[in-house]
Amino acid sequence: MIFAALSIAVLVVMVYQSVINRPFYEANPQLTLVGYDRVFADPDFLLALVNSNIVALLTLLAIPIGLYAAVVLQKLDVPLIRRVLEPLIFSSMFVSPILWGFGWLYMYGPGGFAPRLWGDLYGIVPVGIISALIHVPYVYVLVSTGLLSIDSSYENAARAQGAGPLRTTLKITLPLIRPAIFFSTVVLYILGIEQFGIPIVLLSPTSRNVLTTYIYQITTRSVNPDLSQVAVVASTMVYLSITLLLVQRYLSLRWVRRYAVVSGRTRGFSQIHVRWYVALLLIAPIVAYLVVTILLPLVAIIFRSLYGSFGQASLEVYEFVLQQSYLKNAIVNTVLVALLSASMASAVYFAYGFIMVRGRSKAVAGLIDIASTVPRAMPGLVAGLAFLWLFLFTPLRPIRYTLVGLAIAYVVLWSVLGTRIILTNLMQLSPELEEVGRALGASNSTVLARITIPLLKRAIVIAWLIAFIYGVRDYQVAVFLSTVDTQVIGSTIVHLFNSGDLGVIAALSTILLVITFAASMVVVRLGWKPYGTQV
Amino acid sequence: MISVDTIVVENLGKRFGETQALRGSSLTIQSGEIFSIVGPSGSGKTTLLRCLLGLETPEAGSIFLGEQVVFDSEKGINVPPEKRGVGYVPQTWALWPHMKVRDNIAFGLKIRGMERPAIEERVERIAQVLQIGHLLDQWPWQLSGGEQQRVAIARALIIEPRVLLLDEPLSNLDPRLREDARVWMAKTIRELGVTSIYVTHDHEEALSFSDRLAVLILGRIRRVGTPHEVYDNMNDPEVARLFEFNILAGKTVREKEGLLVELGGGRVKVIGDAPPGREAEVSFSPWNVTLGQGTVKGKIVSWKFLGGFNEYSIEVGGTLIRARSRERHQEGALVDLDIENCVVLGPQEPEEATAAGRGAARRATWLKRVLRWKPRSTPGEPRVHPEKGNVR
Repeated sequence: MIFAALSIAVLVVMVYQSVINRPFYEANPQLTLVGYDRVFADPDFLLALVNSNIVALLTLLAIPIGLYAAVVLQKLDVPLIRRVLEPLIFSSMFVSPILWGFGWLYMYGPGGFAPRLWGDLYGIVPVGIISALIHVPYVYVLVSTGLLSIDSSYENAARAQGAGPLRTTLKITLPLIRPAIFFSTVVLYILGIEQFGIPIVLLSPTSRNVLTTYIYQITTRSVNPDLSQVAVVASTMVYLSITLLLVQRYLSLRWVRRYAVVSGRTRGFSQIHVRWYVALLLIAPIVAYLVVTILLPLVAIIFRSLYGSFGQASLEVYEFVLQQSYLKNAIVNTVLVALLSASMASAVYFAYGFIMVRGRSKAVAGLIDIASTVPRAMPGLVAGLAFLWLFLFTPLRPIRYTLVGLAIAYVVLWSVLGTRIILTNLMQLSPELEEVGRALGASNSTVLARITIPLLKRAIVIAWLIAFIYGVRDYQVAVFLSTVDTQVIGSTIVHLFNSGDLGVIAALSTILLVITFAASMVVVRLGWKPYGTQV
Repeated sequence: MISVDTIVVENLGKRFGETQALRGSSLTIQSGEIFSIVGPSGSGKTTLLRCLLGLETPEAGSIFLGEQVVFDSEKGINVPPEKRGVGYVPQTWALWPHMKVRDNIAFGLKIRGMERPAIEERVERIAQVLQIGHLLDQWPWQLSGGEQQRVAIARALIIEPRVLLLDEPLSNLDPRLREDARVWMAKTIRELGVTSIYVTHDHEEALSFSDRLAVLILGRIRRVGTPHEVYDNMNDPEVARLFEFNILAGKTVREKEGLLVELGGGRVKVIGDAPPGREAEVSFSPWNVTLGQGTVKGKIVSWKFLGGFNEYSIEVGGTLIRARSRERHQEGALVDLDIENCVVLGPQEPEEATAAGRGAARRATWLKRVLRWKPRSTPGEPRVHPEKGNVR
């Protein structure tokens, strides 16, 4: 309940600050829209707003690529190849966006292993294109969800009428997953607007800004930032994503009925059998994409950390990292905060899910639903800031700048995915399993401890791991919520980037990469598929 | 394991939003009895069961398990399910997939803090009685449907419940197994002597399984009695429809041999009372129609071969009825019919209803008649069953 309240409070604080004339913790604030007038008159802000939208639009280029990959991998009768490629696609979703920025820089940047393969990396357009390329997995997941829910009888009917596999796919399958394609558009646009990791890496040598880097700039470059200005910019981003989320929600409700195939009983999933060389030909571009845009940049980070600038493999950088107490601290802190937030998260998300599915009150369930989804509308950077204000100027002051405070922020912010996982698993659990326990003499809490939780063990472990990964990979929230003593790897990388020590950054990034990949491999091993979950 | 409790349900009312699931239902179930509650889907039978279990809280009425009041709306008594000592076999059996069969069965005893050796002994013993001794170390998903059902019953019985509640436990079995399972279950439960309440939508199951049964329709108990009492005196139209009886309308005539009704040009003796010279509805079983003799005229519309017998669809005075016979008759043939055990349908009041329930019942019946009123079927146009479409 506290967590649910926090998640709403955070959003409120940000919007409230944007419509008053002085810091919200001072006495007698007055409602005014002056802040908006001022910000919207600032040419830098307007430019950043335009740039953000350009990046978001370019990000939509991920849709055709992801659509192609999903249709080929899901519809072709190639289970083995799918089993190899899918974990890679899923795991890449967990990689911290800032790592993509560095990976691309190290691989294709001016001093990289394959310089200028893609032309100049610095600029708005390259940021948009890279953003598109690394978000392909999201489209893949959303489209696959749509594809897997199509009843094979629709396609079989077309085949029986004499349509070939290609025509069936184009005329029947694709139109049926139109909702999934639309959702991908909305999700990608939001992700594009929220981009921070890639822009901060690739835009800082230029003087250009997107909204996130603009906020970062005005809050970090001045000792005493204008709260109202920051809040207005941040709120503008929130309005954008909330509008998009609402449109998505509204349309999904409308489309549920029209595209009734999405629900209802499915009679299995139809796959197309093609000759091996045709399959190879169709799959080759996907493999090429994965190698060029996902594998190589990540490998480049690892190589960069090993080779440094002397051209000889050594662990020198790692020795350096472990000698520097503040870097060592950051690593320890990252693991600690991730463990802490994952443990809190699995408990909180279980409670969320339980209240929503088994709770008696519809109103409470609705409130929890909002509380678990609303924070998603806030970009990480903005959320970090909002939490900072909340911690500084409320009774929560003692936990400001502590690892506990950071962990709580993580739990609140990324509740959507974890809650969904528990929710869907809990909904599949027949209430009779619990009721029999009651009839046999077990109290509510005994049933919870000995029946419900053991049955949901796998889902809870997956939620824990995903929260852990989110905790490890964060670089945005912690930027504002940590001090020298409580730095985590992600925020250290952001800070170091300003001083430009690329070798150390590569080493830290590699450590991040190893932890997230290891954890995400376990998640995929546990049989988790992101299909049907909200991204 | 003999339970010595009488179960009394008084005037139970339960509402879900707009729908009134139970409307003042009252029942008395004798100790050791196998009692069925039969009704169509949505009739409130599962709600009644869940109220007995304590999983739903009724708005009105009271429930006694033997001497103990487990629910009383006026006194504010509501004993939680775990304190009622009721055995429950849900529709899906709900065997816990994370426990082996042995642990599933032992759960209720572990909760009670019983010693391990004692638990083992009790589990072995009940497994022997229910013939599942060889399954104890398997996982639930390794068992067949029939085996899962036995384990679910064992799990419910091991706590020596005061009453065993069974919620359509056969509906998840495939039809071939269902008959065997029903016979086995009835025999086992009877031998153990545990008071059992068996909820089903299948009237044949209820008739063959139980000592007594109650017919629940739209949240109201319409009939209570032994299977013979209910079947042989089908005087409630709703109950007659549920049991797939034929319903015909005709004018009543009083002769010296008793009350007759005019059907299809002939006259049939009827059981029950009605004012003579008026239109009345009568019901009769498809088995009680004799083809080839009698005064009632009918035309065979269609027939199907069902193995041991044929089922005929016969038009009598514009209404389709069903008849079952071993004899063969041609489609389209005109036949003479004799109908036995024909019962006059009346505005039936729910049995064992209390004063409040009775008033509500009368109002509802009256209202239903107004709402359901339709011109009597005209010749040549087969009457359509209100729920199932054409009478088969």
